[in-house]
Amino acid sequence: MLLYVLKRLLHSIYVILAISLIVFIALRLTGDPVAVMFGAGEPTKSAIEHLRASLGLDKPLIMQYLIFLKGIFTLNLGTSFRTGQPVSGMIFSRMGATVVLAFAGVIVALIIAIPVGIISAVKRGTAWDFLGRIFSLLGLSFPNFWLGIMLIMFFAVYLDWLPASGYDGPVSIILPSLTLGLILAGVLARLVRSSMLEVLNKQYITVAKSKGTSEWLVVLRHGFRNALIPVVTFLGIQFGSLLGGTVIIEQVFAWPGVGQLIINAISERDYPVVQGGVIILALLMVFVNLLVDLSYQFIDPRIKVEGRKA
Amino acid sequence: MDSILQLHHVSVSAKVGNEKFEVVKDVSFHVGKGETLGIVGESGCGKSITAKSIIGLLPSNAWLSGGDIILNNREISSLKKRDMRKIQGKEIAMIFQEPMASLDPVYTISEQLAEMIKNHLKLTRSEIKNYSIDLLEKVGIPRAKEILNEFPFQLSGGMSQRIMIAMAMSCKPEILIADEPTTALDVTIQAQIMDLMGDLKNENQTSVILITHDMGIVAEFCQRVIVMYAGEIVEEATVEQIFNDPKHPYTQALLKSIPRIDERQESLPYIEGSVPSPRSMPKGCRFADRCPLAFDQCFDQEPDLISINNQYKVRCWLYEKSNRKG
Repeated sequence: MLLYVLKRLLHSIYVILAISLIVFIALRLTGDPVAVMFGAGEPTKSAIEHLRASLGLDKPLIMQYLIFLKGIFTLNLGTSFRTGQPVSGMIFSRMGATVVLAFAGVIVALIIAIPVGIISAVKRGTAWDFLGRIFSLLGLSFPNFWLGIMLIMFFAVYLDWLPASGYDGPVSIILPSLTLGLILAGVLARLVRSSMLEVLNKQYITVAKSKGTSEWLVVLRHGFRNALIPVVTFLGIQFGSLLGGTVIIEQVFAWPGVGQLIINAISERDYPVVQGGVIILALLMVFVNLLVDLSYQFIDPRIKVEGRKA
Repeated sequence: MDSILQLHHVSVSAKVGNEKFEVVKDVSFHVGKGETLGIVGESGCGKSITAKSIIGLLPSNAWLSGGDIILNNREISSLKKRDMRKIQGKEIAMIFQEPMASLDPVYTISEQLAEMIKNHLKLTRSEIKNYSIDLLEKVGIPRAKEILNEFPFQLSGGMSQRIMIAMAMSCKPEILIADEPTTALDVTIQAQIMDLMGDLKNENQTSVILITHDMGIVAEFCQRVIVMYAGEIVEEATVEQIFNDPKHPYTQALLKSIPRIDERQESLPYIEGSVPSPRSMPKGCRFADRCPLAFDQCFDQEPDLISINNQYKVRCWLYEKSNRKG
């Protein structure tokens, strides 16, 4: 298993290389950071040259990229163009908030989607199923920022129960995690439903009933347990777009996470912060996918991680 | 022979889309204690559905639309689910066609055996474990202790079916329903599985309802046979009668289509046409379209199941006529 993990980590280096190249090029296409930094003023040519040199932007592109790469592997992501603070510190101090929000979103989604999906499948064709499918459809169709704004208007502005934005103690996480979770729950409930429908048609379900086991116990013990496998896969794949969603939701709720940091840095063309932030999110993604792959062997006995004997 | 199970005029309907069909029509039969009753017929003739109606496992789109099912003088078809659960596995057990698909892939064999045992017998954990080992040894599984901790994907089809039999027999049911238990298995394994079932049945005095389309198995293991066609019983007789002197043209055709080693045949006879769909049942005899002996009356009117003698029933106009003459 250790061997497998090492192998996977080694493979993830390619992913990181590819992402670093894309971020690096895309950023340099957005315009000159020096021009933005001087704003409306008319700087002298020598002032511009000086700033360029101090930011390391006078070096050839290939050199700039290699410095960035070296930074990734030495965990020294440079300093912010704006504040001069080390980028790693800026990101890690905000990482916690993003991770907490993302996981809270997943938990909300699971709490909603699992019962909705199971009931929809078991009560197929009834009013319950109809309601469940409407819920899924809404979750699929609402843009997350719109839902976030609606929730703010209702719970924060109209009812004044919860804070609208920022971080004001633990209650602040309710609205953003609900927004993320509801959107994800739409797709997830649909998946749980279809996965359950497939499993409930299997013969071992009939066999379990023939033993005199109660219907709900059969549904949970044999049905859901087997339907879980595609659901976990989906969550792993979906984690990327969940992080993407987090970036937007952080903006809507002024949540002090990495997403907000990156968006601000993009508008300021703060190259090191954007590059560092994206790379860290990518690493997080790689790590979660690895966790998902490792979890299979606990969910499905037919899967044994290769190299386990070693 | 005491009859332990009786079906009286059982009909089963099913809903497909917005259409309702009667898939089993007016089926009556009984099973005696320790007896093996064979139910034969082509795929889709209602054998499995009839069996599932007995143990209360009809699919969600099907329901009992008429008749009674009486187990030990007790009507069971109208029982609440909660009461039916005490019968499922305990008094009536069932084994299925695909042994590999019968076991849940994510649980070990011991967990799946224990589920059945826990439902019906009051045993402690260690008693359940010892009993499970006994059961597996009895059905001829080597290394029973190790196999208990294995998962279904580690077993062969024959082993899986042995385990299913062990499970079905674990609570000493009075009736075992075996729905084509050997169809999915190798020919060499088939005989072993059938012998095993026969031994356990004799040991426990279990009655067996054996659903099959293999006439060879019927000849070897059953005392009486019911032939079903398009949701109805067309013939009911003892095994000797069916093989020596089949009455219904459908049964005759079924028997003719068994290959024989002592006759050289250019091609194997088969029954032309196919079973009528429940969507468009003919108004006369359901077999008339495929029957070589059909005459006018067969297409106009459906024959009743008539008793030729105490143990012999057939649904065919040919015998109605001869009855009238005689």
